[in-house]
Amino acid sequence: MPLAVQALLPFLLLTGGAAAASLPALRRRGGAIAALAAAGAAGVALTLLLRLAPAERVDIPYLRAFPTVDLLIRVDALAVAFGLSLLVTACLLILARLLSDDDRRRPWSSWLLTTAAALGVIFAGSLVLVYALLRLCTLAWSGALDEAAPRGRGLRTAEQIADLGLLVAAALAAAGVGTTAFSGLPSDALGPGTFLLALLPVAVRIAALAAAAERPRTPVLFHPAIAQATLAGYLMLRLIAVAGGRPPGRELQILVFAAGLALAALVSIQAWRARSSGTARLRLAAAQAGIAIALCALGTSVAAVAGVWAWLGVVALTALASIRQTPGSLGALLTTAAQTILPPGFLFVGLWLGTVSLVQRQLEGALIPLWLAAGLAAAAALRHARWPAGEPRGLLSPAPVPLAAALLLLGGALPLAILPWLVIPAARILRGIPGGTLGWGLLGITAGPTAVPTLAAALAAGGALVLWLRLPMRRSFDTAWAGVHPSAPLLRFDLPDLARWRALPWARTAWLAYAALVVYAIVRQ
Amino acid sequence: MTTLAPVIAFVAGFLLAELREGWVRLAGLWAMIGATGAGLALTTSRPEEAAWAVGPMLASALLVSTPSPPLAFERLMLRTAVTIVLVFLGGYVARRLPFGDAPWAIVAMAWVLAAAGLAWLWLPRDRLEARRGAVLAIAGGSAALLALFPTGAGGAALAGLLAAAPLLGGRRPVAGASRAQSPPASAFLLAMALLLAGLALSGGAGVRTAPLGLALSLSPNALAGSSLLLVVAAFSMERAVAAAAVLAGGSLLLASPAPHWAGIAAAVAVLAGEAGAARLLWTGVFLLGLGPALSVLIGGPLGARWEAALLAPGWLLLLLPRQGRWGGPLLLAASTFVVWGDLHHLGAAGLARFQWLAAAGAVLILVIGTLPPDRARIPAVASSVRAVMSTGLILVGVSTAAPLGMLGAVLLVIDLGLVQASAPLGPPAGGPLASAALLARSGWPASAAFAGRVLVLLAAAGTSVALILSAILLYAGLQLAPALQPHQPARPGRAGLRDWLATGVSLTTGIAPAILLRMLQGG
Repeated sequence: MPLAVQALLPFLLLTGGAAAASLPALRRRGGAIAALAAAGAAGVALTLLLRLAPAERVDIPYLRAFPTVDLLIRVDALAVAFGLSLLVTACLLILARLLSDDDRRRPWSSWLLTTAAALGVIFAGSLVLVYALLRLCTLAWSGALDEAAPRGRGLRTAEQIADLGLLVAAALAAAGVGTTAFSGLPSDALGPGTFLLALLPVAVRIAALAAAAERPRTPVLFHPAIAQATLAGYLMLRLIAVAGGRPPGRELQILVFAAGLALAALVSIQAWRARSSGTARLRLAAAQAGIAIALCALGTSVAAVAGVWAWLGVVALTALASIRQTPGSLGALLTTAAQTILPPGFLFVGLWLGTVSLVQRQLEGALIPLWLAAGLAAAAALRHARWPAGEPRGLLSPAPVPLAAALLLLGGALPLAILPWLVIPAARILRGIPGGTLGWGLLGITAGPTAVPTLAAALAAGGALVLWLRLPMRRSFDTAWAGVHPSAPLLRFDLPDLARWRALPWARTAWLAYAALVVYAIVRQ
Repeated sequence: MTTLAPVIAFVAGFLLAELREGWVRLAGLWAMIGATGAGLALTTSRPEEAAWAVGPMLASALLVSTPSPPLAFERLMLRTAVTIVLVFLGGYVARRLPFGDAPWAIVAMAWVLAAAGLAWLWLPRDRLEARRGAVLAIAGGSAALLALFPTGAGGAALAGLLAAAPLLGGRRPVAGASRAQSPPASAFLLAMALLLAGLALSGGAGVRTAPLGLALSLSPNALAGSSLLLVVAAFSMERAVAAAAVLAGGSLLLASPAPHWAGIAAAVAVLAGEAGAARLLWTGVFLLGLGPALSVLIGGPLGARWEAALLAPGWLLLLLPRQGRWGGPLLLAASTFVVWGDLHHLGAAGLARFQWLAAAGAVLILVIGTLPPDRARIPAVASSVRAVMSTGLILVGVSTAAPLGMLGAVLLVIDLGLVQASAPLGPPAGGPLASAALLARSGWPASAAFAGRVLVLLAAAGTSVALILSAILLYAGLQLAPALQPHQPARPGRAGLRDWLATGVSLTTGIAPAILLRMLQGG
């Protein structure tokens, strides 16, 4: 099958599935159709990934309907890896929702269209196209064709304004080099200021991820994983790839690293303070996104692998956190275990690779904040971990969650299963990875002279976790903490009274200023 | 010596017109117009230019009426003061600036004619006198341009005839109200628009000379502009709007400055309703005409500075006041294409000057437009926050002087002029069109508004810091605009043909704006 057709196939499956699921005759089977469509699209993405040669980048232009912006699909390992991750995640969420009896609504069409729009962002071949598809994605998840509709207006508006940063960056890049296509952008096309502007959509999506924890819980939240975590991760990595593997300028690297860790620490504290484990899990996903941002800023080959690993993990963990789970169920325990950044958590591999990267760059001092933030996140995860209780059947409901969480734990323990075919090819798009940089085997991975036995570490840490949860002192710890549980919000802003400002003669001042400017335009030589 | 007799006749006529009523005033007006026409013929050595006088004389005769109660003393004094100030301002500027070889006596007569017209327009005794003032203002302005840019008999006669345009707007009691237009007339206008669009796509025909020496500009840009104006007229189903569209669209196709400017002024005369808004519009129209005139009169870099500096505020004053449902968009579209054409005359320095004045104007629009009406100190500002900010973006887009910016501006004009105006009460509630209509009216991707905003920003980034900053400000404001105005529920009833057409136009141009770019650039 020609690549140009194969690249379009996931979109056709998703939009076709959305159309079918909205037909009155098929509405009852909408969930199954949606799951099939997402699974089919994931299958196509997988074959696409296996078909690509190492570090191969293919641009497929379809149409030039928009001046200076081709309708262009960019197929490379980074895009396909994130596309695959997105589609598998969407499939998991749809399955979890299908198995839930609590909600009678049928959101299948909207979900499939949101997935298609997010996939469009991932496969878009130019910055302007990414911007347009980000807007489409916002439209798809919010469903607010009428822009003034009050539902979800705050988040929608925030996303729209932040996405403007990306458009401005694209416009400045186009003014400088004449194109916004990824294939035509040199590594210095985005300066530090422009890069920061382009990061605005990432920042607002992570903030939205943290804020999602405050929303009323439905059995399955679809958007945090699909429209926020995936897109934030992909955009961050794509921008790093455009900038040549690291944020432009040493100061900006430090700023991004520090901002990521500060975000992780702040949200971890919020997760610690959360009253319910469901809220805490979503906040933890935002904290992990903060650590992933910090890893992306390090700018080495090992850090590129760490960044891709961490972001793919954040997407999967956000999806698990978006599914309502019975407190004390097996799924809840496994999800919490996977969310601990220390072993046996999935993100431990990324954290360790980030550590190696800092050591390689002789920045050992930066290890302290990195591990402090990671420790806070791990502590927050452990605080909400509960040993499963109840009947065995109840423990295993809903089934996809424990299975997916177990697979993630397995992936963290055996990086061999994920690294070579998914993470390394995607990381090669960010930065060249010389042979011998990384090695992997059944026991663990090696980066240069250092090695970590991930399997042994995961088993040992898993055993320690079980012991901690079964110890009687754990209960007394919980009781003690409950007594000092703070309820006041960490940050509080009061808007100033604007009445006095409104009373100023703005119109007259503006007219006078403009008239003065016209006179100056005539007088000035 | 050759101009002495016309000047004496003009002064006598001026005194009669200002001091008397009825038929005596008409005689005075005829003396003024006749003297100016004679002066034109004598000083430009082109007797055929006297054909200009026919239109204003006829229009003045048709506007004679029984005298209504005189103005209150204060208002009368104010009006006299306005006339004197305008006249002396012209004289002072003429003395201070290094005027070239221009026929000053003719320019002075034309200026006084226009000044008297403007004073009657701004402070009229009744509606009839306002229309009479409009006739004089258009006649005076076009006479001054004829003296500076001589054209053939055809151009002069047309410029004079266009001064009779205020007769067409006389039946409108208030702004926005107009007699309905028959569907076949709308279909005809639409067919003409398609024809012009086809010509634009085929590359146009450049500058051609029609019979009687009338110079026509059949560039793709002008053809596309005229086509858009006719589409607005067809959508409006209103006679006055159709007349204004034909006048403005026709003026875009004229290469000679005098009839070109007179066409725009005539369109304003047909559409201007409320007194406050009309004052702003007429000031804007005069500044648009004054720029090119001063560039020739003064000449050199100083003349170019005046031209660049007057173009931006002139256009701004045309964009700011709120007109009727269709009148505002029509003037917006017409002035956009007029200014786009004028930008080609500016040098690099003039363009830079225009750009920062345009950027400041966009910010002014933002400030004025978002103030509550009672604090805005403008008689009427555009109908919604979204319209205000889109107008600002249009200003920025055109001032980039890049095809991409102009394309963005045209898309925003289509959004305001066709899509938003065609369904002021919101999109239709039911039927298969409802979702598509909502999308077409929104700022989401695939709508003309979205494409226009993106293109303006892309174009502004390549131009200047002032333009990109104002574009970002306006674009961000547009994202916030839906939160600033009340939620508009869908209107009851099913979609009509106009809804279908507006939706189709918005989505087609939003998905494939390259078609429009080809139309603007020709082929």
